[in-house]
Parts: sequence; structure tokens; C-alpha cells
Amino acid sequence: MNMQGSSGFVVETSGLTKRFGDRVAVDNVELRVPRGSAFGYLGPNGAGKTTLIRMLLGLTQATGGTMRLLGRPVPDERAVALARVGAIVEEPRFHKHLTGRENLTVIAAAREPEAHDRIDGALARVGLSQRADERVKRYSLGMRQRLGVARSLLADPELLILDEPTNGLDPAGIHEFRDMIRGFVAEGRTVLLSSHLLDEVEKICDEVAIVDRGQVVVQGSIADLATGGERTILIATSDEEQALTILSEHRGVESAATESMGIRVTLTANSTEAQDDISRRLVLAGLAIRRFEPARVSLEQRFLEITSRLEEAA
Amino acid sequence: MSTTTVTATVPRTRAQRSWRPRLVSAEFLKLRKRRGLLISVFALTVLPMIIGYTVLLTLHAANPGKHGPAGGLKNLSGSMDMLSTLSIVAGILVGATLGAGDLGSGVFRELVVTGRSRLALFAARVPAGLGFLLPIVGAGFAITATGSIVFAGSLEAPSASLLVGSAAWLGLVASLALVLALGVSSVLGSRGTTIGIVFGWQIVAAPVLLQIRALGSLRDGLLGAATDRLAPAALFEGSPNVKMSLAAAVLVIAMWTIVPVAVGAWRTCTRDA
Repeated sequence: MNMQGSSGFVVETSGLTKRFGDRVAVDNVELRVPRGSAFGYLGPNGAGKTTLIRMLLGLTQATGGTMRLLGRPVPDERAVALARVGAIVEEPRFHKHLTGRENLTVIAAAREPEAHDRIDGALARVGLSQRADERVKRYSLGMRQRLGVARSLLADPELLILDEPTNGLDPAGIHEFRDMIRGFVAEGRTVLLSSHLLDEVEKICDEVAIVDRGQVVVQGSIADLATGGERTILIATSDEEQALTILSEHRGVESAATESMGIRVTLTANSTEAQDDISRRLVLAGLAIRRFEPARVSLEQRFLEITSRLEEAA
Repeated sequence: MSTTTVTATVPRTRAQRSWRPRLVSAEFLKLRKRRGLLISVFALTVLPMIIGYTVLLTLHAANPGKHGPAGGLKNLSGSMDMLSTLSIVAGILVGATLGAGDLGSGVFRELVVTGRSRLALFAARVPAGLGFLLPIVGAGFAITATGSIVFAGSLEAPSASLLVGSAAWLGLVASLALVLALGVSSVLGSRGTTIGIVFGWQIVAAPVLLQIRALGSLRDGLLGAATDRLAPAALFEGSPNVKMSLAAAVLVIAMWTIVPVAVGAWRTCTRDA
């Protein structure tokens, strides 16, 4: 794989905006996709995910803002940047009257001469070697998705942009797809995965940006998002009743309730001092602390929390 | 699916060694593999010539007194009249498919994301389309030309220069139809609509307009008027419907070539993919 550009980000946007008449589909988006990661671009249907991808790939023009792909400004140096980008936008489309191999030949012809030499390797990579000479109209949706991935590999991509890649796949297909994406990242490629499926993003990606109504509302690592900004901690002690009494009297505690894992404590603010003070008081009361950790939430919970907060604000 | 990297040494295929640029080869491949299109073009250009000469030969063999020889200049004229019209239809089919094929299948988007210039993607269609259409039209002409000489019998056989001129003229009218349909379909993005519009114009409306003398010099702007002017004089009896200078005919043809290509290229470069 050729490495192009020295920036730590393979995608950088600044104030990126797309309007369709009065409707703002992408609103002033600032996005940074780190090199060598699986990056999830997560949002509900209609949030502007595909529109952003279409702008990055030059399929539609931006109304405002700037973009850089692999360190190159686009659209000014679009051809150079896209030479090392593979993409599946929405459902991968093919000439159905051509075979899988012929479809790849057509795309390879539009890429660098070496792309032609990658056809067999790409077909083998996605497990389609045996059926490469069948017409695409006989392919299942899963096979077409895999052929789409093979097509994007013809670029020997530094960056793979996959828009809702598991749409229509059965559970086994989704599992295979997940493994394949992790394989690409292990090779040093960056994968930008757009999806509305929170579970999928959580399982595949290292970093995520959550987008809603055209705006990126939060961006960071999955681990940080699952804990970051969260004011809830889990505490388990040798005497939960006494611990509850101490917690209920503490000024930094908004609420405390017992559950199977221990006591779920919501703080009035995300304060390290408050957490230190609580642990100190529990120890001084003679309680053994068995657990004291930030309560992790699933990406889904975090996503719903963020988007519902936005809805309330709107 | 495995995540193991497979490195395969692949010998370069014939397509890469070809004299044709790779994009043109790819466009040609797309056309060549459309069985329906291939059969239609063949059926429009080669088949009628085979059937026509077979019928003429049979009639002549059955009753030489009533039916003259199948070949000769007169029969060449008749078959060229039919072949030129059918070649225009074939050109329209190929041009419409070229312009709308990628859009209709959704592959245009996949081509655009390669970063290759849209203008280059469009430009490759013209030589690919001509490379597909002209050999088949040429085969139809070859049958006609051969038949007109071999089966001339007592009739006057066409000269070599007339045959060369006729072939060039036939290639011109077929190519112009292809370019016109390519431009229109690149703008409309629909093969069916393009076929309807260009067929209706070239095969129905334009010939009718050519016959309306009241239109005067307005008829000079019609593509059919210009191509009629360039037709070999010995091929068709009588003078063209519209009298115009050679320079004017060339100019009109140039406009009917440049405008559809320019508009089609512009739309290909500017449309959302």
C-alpha cells in the first residue's frame, strides 16, 4: 500500500456545509478522521451522513467549507486524493450484464494501470474467485456487497469509505464484513464507516462521530464516549445500606440507587474531587470498597442521551 | 470471507496490451457484452441486406424475364437507401446506450469516485461507440457492395470510387446519429427517452420537414439536408431536397456534431453522480 500525505488525519473538514434549497443537509461539519483507525460516522437516517460522503468523493458539490482527503484539498486535488480511496456509497452498483471480473475491469480502466493487476487478488480477498466469471445479475446482495469491496480494493486504498455497508446482509454476512473491516485496519488502512446501526459501529470502530440533523454533535473514541461526560459511577461496598446513607448526605451526589452491580451514583457534576471525597468518606466509615468505577454505557445509550438532549434543546 | 491478504501475480490481459486506451476498451466491453444491442444492430444492418439479396436472387432465378439481376447500380441505390436509414436507427440505439448506460446502472457514480476526469469518461464513449457500430454497419455495406457487383449480370455495376464514397457516406450518417443520441442521452440520462426523441426527430420529423418547401432556407439547418448533400450523386436519383453548398453542408454537420458532444460532455461533468 502506498502511503500518501503525512497528516495524521485522512479526512479533515472545516465548516463543511451542503444546502438543498432551504434545507441544510450538512451543517458546518468539522470532522477529523485519524489515520489507521476504523472510524464510525454514526447518525439516524436522514442525518446527512451520505451527503457528507458524497461531497468528500466529489459526487456532489459542497455549498460551503473546505475538505482534505489524505492531506489533499478537494475538489482542487480530487483526482490525486481519490486515487488512493476506495468507496462504497449506499448500495454498490454494477453493470448486471457483465461478469464480476468484467465489472472490476471497467473500474480498473479508470484507475492507474496497476489496478488491473489487482483484480484477481481483490476477488480472492472477498471470496469471489470461483464466481467471478458469472454475470452480476445472478449475484446475491451479499455477493454484490463483497464485489463492491473488491472494487474498492483496486485502488490499493489508504482510505476506505463504506456507506451503510451491511445493509441487507444476513447475520453471517455482517459478521464476515466486520472481520474484513478489522483486517483492513490491521493492514494500516483507514476505514470510514457510515452507519445508523449503533451496535455495528460499536463492534467495529475505534473512533466515532455522532451526527444529527447535519451536525457533528460529538466525536471521540468509543471508550471515551461510553464514559466521557457521564456523571454516573458504580460503587460496591461491604455494607451497601451504610454506603447509601453516606452517599445520600453528600452534596456532590444527585441520586444513588441500589442495583445488582452495587450502587449507581449520579453526581451533580463530573467532578474528580467529588469522587475522591466520596471514596475517602466510605473508607473512613470503615467500609471495604469492592468497586468504584465510571458506569459504562453502551453507545446506543450515549447516542440516545445526546440526541434526546438535542431534541429538548430544539 | 477471509481477512488473509492474498497476493496474486496476475498476467496482464489482452485488454491492457490493446492499442485502444483502457477507458475506450472498457466502454467497448460494455457495449460488446450487451447481447440485445449487438443482436439489434446486427438485425438492423446485416440481416436486411442478406434477406434483401436472397429475395432478389430468388426472384431473378425464378423468373428472369420479369425480375432483373439482384445486383447492379440500381439495386445498390435501393439497398443503400434502406441501409442508411437502418444504420441511423442502429446509431441511435448505440448512442443512447453509451450515454445512459452508466447512469442507468448506477455505475457512473462508481466511475466518478475513482477520481478520473468526467470529461475523459465521456470522451471514451465516442471512439468506443464508433468502434462497435461501424464494423457492423460496414459488414452490412460489404454484403450490399459485394452483391451489387457479383450479381450485376447484364446491369451496370457500381464503380470502385462510388463504392468507396458510399461507404464513407454511410459511415458518416451512422456516426452522426450515434453522436446525436450520445449527446441527448448524456443530458437526459435515459436510454428509452433518448431513443424515442432522437428516433422521432431523425426518422420521422426531420424527413417530413425536408419535404416542406415553405420552410425555405430553414431546412438548411437540418442534419438530413446536409448529409443528403454529401451523398454520392450517382447513388440516389435526382437532386437533394434542399440545395445547399458543400461548405454549408459541412458547417451544418459540424454543428450537429459539436453541439450534442459539447452539451453531453458539459452535463456529464456537472451532474450529481
